[in-house]
Amino acid sequence: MATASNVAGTNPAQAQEFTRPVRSLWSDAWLRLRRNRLAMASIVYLFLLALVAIFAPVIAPHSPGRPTTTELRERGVYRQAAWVVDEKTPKRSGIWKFPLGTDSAGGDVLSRLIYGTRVSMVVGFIPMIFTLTIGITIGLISGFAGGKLDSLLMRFTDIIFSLPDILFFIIVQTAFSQTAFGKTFNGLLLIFLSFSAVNWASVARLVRGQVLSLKEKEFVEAAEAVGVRRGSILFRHILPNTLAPIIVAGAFIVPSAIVTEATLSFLGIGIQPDTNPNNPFPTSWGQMILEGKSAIDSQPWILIASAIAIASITIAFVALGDGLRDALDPRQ
Amino acid sequence: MIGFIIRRVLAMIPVLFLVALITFFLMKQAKGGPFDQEKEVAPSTIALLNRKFGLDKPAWLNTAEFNNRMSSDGPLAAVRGLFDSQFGNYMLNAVQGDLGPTYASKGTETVQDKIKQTFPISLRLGLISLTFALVVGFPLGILGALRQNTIFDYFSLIISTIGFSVPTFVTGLVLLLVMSKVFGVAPIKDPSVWEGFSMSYFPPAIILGLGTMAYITRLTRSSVLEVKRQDYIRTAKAKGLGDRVVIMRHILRNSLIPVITILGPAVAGLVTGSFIIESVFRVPGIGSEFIGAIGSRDYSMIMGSTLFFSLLVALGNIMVDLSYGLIDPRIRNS
Repeated sequence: MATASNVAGTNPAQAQEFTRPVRSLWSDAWLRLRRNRLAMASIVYLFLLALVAIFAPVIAPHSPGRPTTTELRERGVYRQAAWVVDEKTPKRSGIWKFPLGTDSAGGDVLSRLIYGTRVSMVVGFIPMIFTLTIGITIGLISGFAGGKLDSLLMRFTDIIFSLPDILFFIIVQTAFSQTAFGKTFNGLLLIFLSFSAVNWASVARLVRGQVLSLKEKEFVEAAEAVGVRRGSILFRHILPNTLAPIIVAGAFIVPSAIVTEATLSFLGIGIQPDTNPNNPFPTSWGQMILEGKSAIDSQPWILIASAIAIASITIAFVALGDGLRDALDPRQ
Repeated sequence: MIGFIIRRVLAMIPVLFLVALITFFLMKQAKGGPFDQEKEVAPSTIALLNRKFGLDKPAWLNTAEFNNRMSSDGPLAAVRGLFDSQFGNYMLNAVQGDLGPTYASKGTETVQDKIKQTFPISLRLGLISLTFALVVGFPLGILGALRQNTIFDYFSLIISTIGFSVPTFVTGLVLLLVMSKVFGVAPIKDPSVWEGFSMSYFPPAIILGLGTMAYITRLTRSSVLEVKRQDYIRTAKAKGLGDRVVIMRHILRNSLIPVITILGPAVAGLVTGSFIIESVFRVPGIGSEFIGAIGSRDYSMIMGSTLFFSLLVALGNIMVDLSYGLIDPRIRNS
């Protein structure tokens, strides 16, 4: 230590290093995240996708809705991607006006892909907020209250946790998809609710565990000793300390919600397609995969393009989640 | 041990009951009955069919029958009468293993027959994919962790990130596309290939197992990395044990436990993942049957297979809990 201060005294550059500003957990985590190239690339990619989702009407070369009769003549049905030449039926050869070709109704595949970004973004983030809200509330109450309420809530959580979730979603979709409630926002509301109704259980378990261990910590004892009210202890001392694992959990909820929507739409019971050009959510990538599956021989690019879109968005979110976990959990 | 098994089996009952309750409630919300979708059927026929399947009874509680029997037969018979409802009769038959007739067959075939026919196919598919997930996932994770930050590690990371994030129907369809466009393999049309173990099971099984494999790889990797840093590993090395012994006896055994914990959810994932993969690869298993039942609103088939799937998932979890005890003596004794 003595030599260190000697050196610091003689060398101004090192003296500065010794008096650098205090770094919080969050700025530390941010520094670690910035060093993770895969996570940073994912953030950039997802930011670009968010822009595409917001500015879809500006970016998309054509309307995602059903084309008019005159448009249809030009577009053709199952027109191949621009670089594919169809020798048997020349009018189906690709042209650059429709870079990824057209689908069975003459819809421009690229424009639909661009609009599909919206569904994936919305379906990723809104259920995450619902799920975290329910999970954090139940977890906090359960962990903080303890006793009978705790065991009651946890028994309920266990039951929800052991429900086979995709089965539950399928049944909920079948039950409500034809009702007015099930048709709100093309069925998106129903997907949000059924997803959050099952997935909060793991968040609640996580938060409860955190609260139980934090309750025993010295700083909580100190806060109690100086007479801080229970509510303040919960929200000002315990909740902020559970944030790191909650953020990581939230980051993994997003891709899982996106996959759920895509899976349900692929099974034909997810969001409902809409040919109305003014609908902000006319199509989803899962739906395009379903269409691409039936056009696997006639126009494979519907399938390829939407498969790449879903694969890349989920990989990006998982890579970001991994990066956040490594950054927020210094033990790793 | 026996007490533990009994406790766990008993704990299954409320879960299964809740699943039945929720499913039944949701099925009641759906518009349209099973018999009114085809071409016009005479109302009298529908009434007859409803009567045959007991659909003319109240959905939950038969209060009319309760009052009726209360005055004539006494309270015990009245309580039995109260549960003479659609749900009550369904549950009563279900606990005796009778899941009722499928609506699609107009009552000539029962749900349990259908399950008996199609489940072996799904079971074969699931077993192959579980084997694949374990045999590939475990070594890949170990290799990645022991050779951290080498090309092996990056390879295992890339494979596991893809398998973990990309949904199976996407990878499955891409595989189908590659098989038909690049290798010229035609999709399978002949259903008899699924009757025993055959090569046709491999493409769907590998895709189905991909997610589980990736999860096992990720978990094994981080678990081995964690164990590698423990004091007892340093001790083992310090006392001069060879690398081989340290890895096999000290690292692997201790890093196995967290991996086993996810096998329960993994088995559940394989069971419920099967119906997506089966519909992609046209495998005539119980998953395809379930998806078909959704399409034709065959409520008894939906109810029956949901209960069956839930039972499988619950049993899988119990098996995994039992296996902890076999591997880790600390858990066995607590």
